[in-house]
Amino acid sequence: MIEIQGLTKIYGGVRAVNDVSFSVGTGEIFGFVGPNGAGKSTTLKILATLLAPTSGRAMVDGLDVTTNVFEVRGRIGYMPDFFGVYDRLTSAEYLAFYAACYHVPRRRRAAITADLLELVNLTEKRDAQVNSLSRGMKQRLCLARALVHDPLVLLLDEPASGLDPRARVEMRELLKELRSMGKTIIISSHILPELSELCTSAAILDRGRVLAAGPLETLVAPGAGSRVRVDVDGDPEVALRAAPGVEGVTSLFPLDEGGMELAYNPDVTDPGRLLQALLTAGVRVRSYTPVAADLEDVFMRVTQAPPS
Amino acid sequence: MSQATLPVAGLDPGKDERAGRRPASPWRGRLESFTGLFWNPIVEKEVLSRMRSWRAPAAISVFILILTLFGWGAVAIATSLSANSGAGVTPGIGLGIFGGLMGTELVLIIFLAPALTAGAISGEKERQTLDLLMVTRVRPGAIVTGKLVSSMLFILLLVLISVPLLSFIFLFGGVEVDQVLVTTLVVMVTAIGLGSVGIFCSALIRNTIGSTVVAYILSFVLLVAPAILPFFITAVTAPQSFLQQRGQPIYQLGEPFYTMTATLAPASTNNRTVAIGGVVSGGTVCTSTPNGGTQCKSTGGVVSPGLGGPIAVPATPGLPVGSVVLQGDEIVEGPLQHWHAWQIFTIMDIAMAALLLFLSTLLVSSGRVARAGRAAARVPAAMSGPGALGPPPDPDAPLPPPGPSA
Repeated sequence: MIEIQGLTKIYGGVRAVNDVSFSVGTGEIFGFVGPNGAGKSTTLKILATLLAPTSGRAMVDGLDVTTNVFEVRGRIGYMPDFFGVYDRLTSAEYLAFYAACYHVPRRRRAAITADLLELVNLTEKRDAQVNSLSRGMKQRLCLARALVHDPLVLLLDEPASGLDPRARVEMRELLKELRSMGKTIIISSHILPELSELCTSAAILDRGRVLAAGPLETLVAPGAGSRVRVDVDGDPEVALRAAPGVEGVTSLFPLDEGGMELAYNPDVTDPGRLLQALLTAGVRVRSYTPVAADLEDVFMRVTQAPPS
Repeated sequence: MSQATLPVAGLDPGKDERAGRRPASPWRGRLESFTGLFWNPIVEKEVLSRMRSWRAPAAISVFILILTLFGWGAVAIATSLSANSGAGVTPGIGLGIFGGLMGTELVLIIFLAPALTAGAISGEKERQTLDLLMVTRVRPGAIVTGKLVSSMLFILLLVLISVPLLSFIFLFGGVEVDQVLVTTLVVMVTAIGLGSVGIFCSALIRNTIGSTVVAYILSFVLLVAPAILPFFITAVTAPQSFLQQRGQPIYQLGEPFYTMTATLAPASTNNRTVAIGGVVSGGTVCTSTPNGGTQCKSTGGVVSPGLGGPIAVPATPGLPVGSVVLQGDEIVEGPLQHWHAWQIFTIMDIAMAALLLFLSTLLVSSGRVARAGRAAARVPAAMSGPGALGPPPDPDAPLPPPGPSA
């Protein structure tokens, strides 16, 4: 659905996006991960036909975003990292206005507006002024706006930024629902846990470069299982003193609840041998859980690696 | 590719529309994109939200109040003048009052038009909605013209509201219907010209306050320059012929007050001097003499010193290139003979408006991309949300490059 090849954007001598390549299949939720200033928003703006790339190609549904601008606009729904709302318009009028801007026929606009307000759970706010809505409501309204023309692809720039936990959960449920409708979703964020459980694939960006990209399983696999969480009985201090001496353990993070998280070198040991070694060393293990690596681990690993 | 369909009835616009299907006939398509410039979602939205604000009724009330006061003043002056002269109600009274009213209306519109449009594009930038509009299928040209059309509709509303006030002129008589129509046209065309100046400034300048200030300065220059430029040019290039020069440069007809005065002037009047403000109608009346020459004498109301006495103009003095001689509002000598002042004015003003709108469209579309890019590199905060809305979202400000090759 989306193909990006060698995309570069230079802003006044600064390479905001540097030779970025990745592709996103139909129906995927693609996480776009990176610290602030990594080039996520710039890449999304290029995909949204708002910025011309300095070089490289970006294709949406087989169409080049720089040459088939209007066709691409009909296929994408773009939600920037700000609200962009008008004064003196109600939620329903706001959506109807954007529907009109996408050339949705007048007779269908009322039905679409009602359906979208229902989808984002704002039906009771249909006649409320947009400015009077809470931040989470505005965010949902903006998501609805990105859907007025039933796009194939959704480009969401930091959709959860500044939302309270409840609004975040609602946003995540909405995105899952949209995925079940067959939308391809690209979502950028610097908050990793929320992406980990949502995405099917991801790209990690830092300073304009893609450090890693691909399906979540292949991204996570190289380091999978190299951490375990250990809860202990008795004096945790004893366990904390004993654990570092165990063969294969590379580092130790004490947890607030009294347990600890151990990182080990998978070439030296495995979870079974590690448990045995811990017991031998006198650690009274109550529970022992290998920790699945998530996007956060991948992110930490690739961003700490010396730049190639 | 799996067809993305929401499980709700109205929500799938269909693949054809999504793909930007054009109408079957190319002519119909062209017609639609042309009419789309003047009636599009932007116009509807702007009209809706403008009429909901408190400013709209306030502007209408102030407009009518000022117009009423000036009309009342004009009637009082005109009737007392005619009472003192003992001539009773003369045909000139109606024309005088009408001229005063339309002049007032023109001044009010001149103050209003740039203000209405100077925030059109910059306001979208400030609300961060321009990007949202740009990703829709509305063309940049339609955004620009839609903004102008919605403001012009408001001015048209003001002009229509003033019709009952103006209609009492017909009690006095002396005003032709075509004069009413032409002066109203001059007001509307002036609004379109200055409205375009406002649009251009708001496309050029990021903040609305700066754009409004520049729009007023530009409007002032555009209104005053054609009126006073000829005097400076003559004074510098040919001071000896300052008094004898015939006609006026054709660009002077781009001045709305001049055109309005010419429209309301009796056909025998040759407006040699320019009336700024539509109040002072300086002129010289020329009559043919038996020996083939022309005898002119001033009718008073003179602007420049030295034009007070009768001026004897040589029999056939040369008319400077690009100059015309008007009689009433008709060009009687020079290029574009038999054209009327308001026609020249309308063409000049609309041409300027079209040029400014075209430049604004360029600024909004391609130029905006480049400018937004530079702004992002310089001030990262400019791209992010307003600070009042909580933690700043990722501004995606590019970091310094890691290295020449990276």
